[in-house]
Amino acid sequence: MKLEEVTAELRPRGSWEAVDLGFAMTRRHFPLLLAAWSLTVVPLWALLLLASRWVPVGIVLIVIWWLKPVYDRVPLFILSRSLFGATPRLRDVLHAWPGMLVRRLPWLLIARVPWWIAGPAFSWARPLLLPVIDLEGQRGRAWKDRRGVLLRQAGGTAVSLVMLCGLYEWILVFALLTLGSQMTSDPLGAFELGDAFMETVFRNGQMAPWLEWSLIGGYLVAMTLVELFYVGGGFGLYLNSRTTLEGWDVELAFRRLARRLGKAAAIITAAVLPLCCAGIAHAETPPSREAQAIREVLAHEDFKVHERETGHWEREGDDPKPGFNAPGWFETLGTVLFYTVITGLCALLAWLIWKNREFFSRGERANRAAPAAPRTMMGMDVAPDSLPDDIAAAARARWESGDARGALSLLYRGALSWLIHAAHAPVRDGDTEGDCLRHADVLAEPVRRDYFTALTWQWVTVAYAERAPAALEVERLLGSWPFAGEEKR
Amino acid sequence: MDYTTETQPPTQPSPFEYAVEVMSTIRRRVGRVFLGQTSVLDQVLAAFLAGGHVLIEGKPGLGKTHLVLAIAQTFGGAFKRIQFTPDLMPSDVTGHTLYDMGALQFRLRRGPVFTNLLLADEINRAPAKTQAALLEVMQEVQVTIDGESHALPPPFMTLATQNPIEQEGTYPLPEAQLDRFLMKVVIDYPEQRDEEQIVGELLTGTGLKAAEIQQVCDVDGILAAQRAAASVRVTPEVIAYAVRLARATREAQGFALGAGTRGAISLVRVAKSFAMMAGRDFVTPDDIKSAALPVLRHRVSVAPELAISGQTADDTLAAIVNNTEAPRR
Repeated sequence: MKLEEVTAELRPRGSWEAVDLGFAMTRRHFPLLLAAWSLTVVPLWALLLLASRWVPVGIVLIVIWWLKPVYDRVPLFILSRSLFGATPRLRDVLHAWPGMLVRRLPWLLIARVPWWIAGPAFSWARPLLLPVIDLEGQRGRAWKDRRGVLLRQAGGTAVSLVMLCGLYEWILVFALLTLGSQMTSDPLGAFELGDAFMETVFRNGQMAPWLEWSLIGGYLVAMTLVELFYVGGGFGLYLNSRTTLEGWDVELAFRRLARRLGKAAAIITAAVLPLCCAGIAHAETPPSREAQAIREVLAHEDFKVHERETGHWEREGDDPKPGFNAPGWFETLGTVLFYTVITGLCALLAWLIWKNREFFSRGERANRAAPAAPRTMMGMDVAPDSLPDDIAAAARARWESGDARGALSLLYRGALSWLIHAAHAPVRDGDTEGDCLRHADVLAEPVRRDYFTALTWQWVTVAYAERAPAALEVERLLGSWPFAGEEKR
Repeated sequence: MDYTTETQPPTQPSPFEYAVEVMSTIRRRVGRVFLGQTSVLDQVLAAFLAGGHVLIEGKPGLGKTHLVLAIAQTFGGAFKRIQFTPDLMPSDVTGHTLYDMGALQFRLRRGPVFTNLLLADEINRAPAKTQAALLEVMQEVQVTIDGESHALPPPFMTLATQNPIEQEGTYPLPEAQLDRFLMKVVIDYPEQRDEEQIVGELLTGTGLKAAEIQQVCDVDGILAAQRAAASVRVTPEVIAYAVRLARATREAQGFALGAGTRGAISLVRVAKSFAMMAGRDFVTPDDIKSAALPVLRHRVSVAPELAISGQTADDTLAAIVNNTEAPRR
């Protein structure tokens, strides 16, 4: 690293100013970044999407999302080298790409989740910490120390940057998709697009292919545009942190001074050197006043490294309550209480879900399996075992005994039983005579359909107009019962 | 639902049969100018027969004025239209008295409510006071001006429209006032084929205009039809079914507010009209079922948690109607 060759102006900046510096670097090298991205990351995506022929596209999208730290290495590679005046060529990027793909890959992928292996902060401050992994090559204790220092310096801004870029990525996805949708003859709204995207991720194969591929394309374009600036912003933060912590700007100023003064500096150095040596020799005699002063300065509050420790107070000694120091049963009681509360909460949650099941099952009702055939229909028992073996004969017996209503009721029950159990009509509790007639219209052949229509008319006349049926019509219905042998199937 | 398989031509039509014939003819003639909206027409005619008022909700330009004008034309009735605006005053609706300098006495100037069919366009644009004036007229069928009551000429029906698109600067009707409407009819765009016919007839000038509809009967004929509809038989089981439906809306988790007793009464009134229009002198559960959505949808209020997820009153009502056991004797 040659600080004197750095192409950006290094000075201590505010955190967001540093992010802005990173964005400016991205803008400056944008064509190269985009070209490198297209030649490295995009082919990788193409390969992954090819797998969607065998794997659900939702899983492929999740894998694409998971591999983001690998893609970030491409812009970081370009920006870090450009900073020191060695802007790489595309060939250099392509040459380095295989290494980027494999270098510490398992660690990077595991570190995507807030896990202690990588430190919980990595997934939330990746743009700031990725240079530590990639450029400094830090591992183990050194990595942890460096991570701690950087996060103290710019952790908050890095997390905000991650969240803002994530949010902006989704805004861009839906903006692009909405724009594309407006170009079609049947534009979709933002919520419909959101639903469609979720369908693509979670329900593979249920979307129109053009819409599915538009959604995937929109997401990848948005990721490309945002990720380049995201890495740039993080790199700007990283640079600023090191500038502040290691005084890169001071070092640069000295180097420039040395270059400008040239020989004069050499003369001054030669003149001052003996004095310095004398000073050093003097300093070696312990304990000196200077050393004491340094120790005092280092002991100041500003140089203290703060660490958070948590603990709890335990009462001991004075006035113990009788029976209170029985940790065995007390601990057991606490455990029981804990699990009781957890069980209660789970039960409450289950009860709430059950109580609001209509809310969760909205729209799914149509997909459910057909309910079991009703035993009673409109208050009448239509179960096959409740009907006589020869319905027509039993109805005729009632008719001849003067029970016209009973005869028609029996015929209608028999017809309904046939409709439900033999024709398997999807009859529900709330269906009326008209609904049953509509089912019969669809399911029955003309003779039975006509019979059902005539029977229904006679039945509703008896039931709701409270009028006696026409004798001729009843005779006709009794004589032409078309469901014989099937109504009890 | 029409269960009839054969009809015998009556030798001497009874008053009921005459009323059925009148309504059938009106329905046929209005249907010729109000294309592609058969169910809307049936519902409006049912409300008219039941002597109720209708709240129509639909996009602009779907022929609401056309419909009311055509119905008025069929019985030679009067038709007036009020465009509700934020500055509309109650007296602009009901009328007022003026001092006549020539005759040296107060003279009554009747408002647009003195008509048979009143189209109250965009009722939710007027402030509550003006809305209340109209709703009072609808309820009492009379107008009080300067302490003197004036009965409205029967038949009287108000068709109020609400524009569902714009909510800015509107005064939504409170639930208690919505209850005064017998039905809420939702009017949607006609089918492609009907729309083609409407556009074609308009462009070629071959279509029948509302003003050209031949009169079917006079005002007395309509009043006779209303009496015939009121005389339609309803069994206690059917009434119980209507009450069960209304009560189910109160018990449904999806509704913050269910239909009241007036809802059940309205269900039976409209069902009677449907039965008469189908040529029956008795109500079946199917008539109640057909009336359920238009009669109940404005009397219920969807629970916020369901409303936020996009569920409408019609969705929950349809589920209730499907799951409420139909009656049987």
